[in-house]
Amino acid sequence: MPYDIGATTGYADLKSRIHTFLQDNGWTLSGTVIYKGNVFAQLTDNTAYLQLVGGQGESGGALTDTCPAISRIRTDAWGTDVTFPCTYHFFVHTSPDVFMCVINHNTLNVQWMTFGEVNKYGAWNGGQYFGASYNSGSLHNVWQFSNWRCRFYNTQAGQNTNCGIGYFWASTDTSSGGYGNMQMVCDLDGSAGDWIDNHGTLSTRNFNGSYLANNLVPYSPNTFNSQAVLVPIHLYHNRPSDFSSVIGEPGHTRYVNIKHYNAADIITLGAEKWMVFPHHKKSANSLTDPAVYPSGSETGYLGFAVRYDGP
Amino acid sequence: MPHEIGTASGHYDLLAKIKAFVTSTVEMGAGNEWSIERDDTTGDDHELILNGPGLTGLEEIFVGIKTYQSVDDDYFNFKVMGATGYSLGDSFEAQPGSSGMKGVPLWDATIPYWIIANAQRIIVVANVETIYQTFYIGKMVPYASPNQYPYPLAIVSMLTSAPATRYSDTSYNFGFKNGDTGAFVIRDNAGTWLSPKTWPWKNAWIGAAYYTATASEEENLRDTGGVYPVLPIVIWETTPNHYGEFDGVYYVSGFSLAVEDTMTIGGDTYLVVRNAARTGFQDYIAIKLD
Repeated sequence: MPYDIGATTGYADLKSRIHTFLQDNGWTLSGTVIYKGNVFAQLTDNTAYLQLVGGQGESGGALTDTCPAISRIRTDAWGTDVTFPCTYHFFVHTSPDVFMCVINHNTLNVQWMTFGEVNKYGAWNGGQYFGASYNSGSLHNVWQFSNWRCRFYNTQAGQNTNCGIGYFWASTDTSSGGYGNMQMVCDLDGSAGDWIDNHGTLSTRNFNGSYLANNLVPYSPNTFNSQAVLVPIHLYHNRPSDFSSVIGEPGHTRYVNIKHYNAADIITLGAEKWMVFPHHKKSANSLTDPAVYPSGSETGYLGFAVRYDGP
Repeated sequence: MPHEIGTASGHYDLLAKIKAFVTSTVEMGAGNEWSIERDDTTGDDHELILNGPGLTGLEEIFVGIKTYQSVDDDYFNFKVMGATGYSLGDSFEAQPGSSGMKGVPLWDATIPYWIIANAQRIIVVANVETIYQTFYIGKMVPYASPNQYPYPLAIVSMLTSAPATRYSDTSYNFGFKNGDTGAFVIRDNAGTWLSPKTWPWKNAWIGAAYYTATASEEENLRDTGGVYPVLPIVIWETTPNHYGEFDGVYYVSGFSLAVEDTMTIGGDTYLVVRNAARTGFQDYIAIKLD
């Protein structure tokens, strides 16, 4: 069954459970690398975090063509620190291959980790991605969460920002050497094997799923039927000469406004079921007004949904 | 979905060809053809009111097309509308629950056309001296169950009413663009005809000019490695509401695309149509033909 829920006692336990779950569902563990098809990932546990890095191959149990950036689920989180035991949700899907881990800690708080391959639009090479709630940076620059035009999660005038927090959401770490929290292989306008990420301003190496969600996710749920639309995540990639392309969408996930939902609630649509989560922590804010933003750890009503095949 | 590509000799002939196509069991498939409530060609203003069976085959979807013209002013147009029923004794303009009249500038000379229809909506594209006129009459695809939104009727045209506008007028746009201009209306559950916005127009990262965005945000989409992804056109408003999307009509970037180009995506053929004579990046749609 491509869904599992349970309690984890720490990052070593969480890593072990992920490896076991994925191997039970057709993935291969070689040394420290868990892989399937074109998707290669390496998990490293620590007392303070579970770290994820992606590669483009495996040799002798080690990643090859490894991404220079890393992503983490971490104890020292913005807002409420992670305490164990906490609940985990695992999802794995095929066509395309996608793994998603969500931990729900201290009742209202969420962190997530994912790797997989996008449904690509057009002819380009790559599409393997990975990411988690945090990048490698420290927390000190994270500030209030603002979502004006679905631009960034952690930006407010005059503030430097660091982490992305959001699932495929634009991040705005413009510091030297900084990275976003999501990375993907994409050779459009670049070279074979190049990694692009969701940080920075409008550089040509930037991608995200949030820009095209502008208008759609914040202005929900519907007044006329109280339902929140599941919005496909169209990945927007900046190109040279002030153009952009829609390069694909991550499979089995959607953006959704969670005003009427809490973490791990299930939406049933005909034969489909989707489990919804906040990007970090739900709060009563539609995030349609740039002047009204929640506290630093909160992500308003914006959330994401994962296709759910469980009971 | 059924479609026909042809040439009409003028606006009267175009109306006749639309009627012939959408009421044909052969063309539409058994059970998908529209029935005629009114077909009046006796006067100068020809009238056609149709009743569509919907995708369930159990519905009644009322739409109408009427010519209006002036030789003196050199316009030969359609007015299109949607309604909640049909009344024999009422005029075309006074049908029950009418959307109001929305104009389509045409002429009385040769008109290459595309008719794309199914049991719930009719789309027509007319090439009037390279100025492309598009209208959509019928149901859109609601983001709601039939119980929640039983009659999601949409009327998309070129003019906000039915004025004496010649096709060469440069001020009008197809109603798909931005949405809330008045050339596009949908009927809500209260029976009110709304003129909501359309996405991805209105998106700060594509249609940035609408939001007076900064220069860095004024970007436009282009192809993706030679392929043009099409995006659903989402009907929304800040209330908030997301009513649904059009059936078979999509947003596509105008980057290096030309009107009447066709694209194949996932085995389906899409026709590229532009906004009247405009050639801007945000002035194109793709209509699924098959």
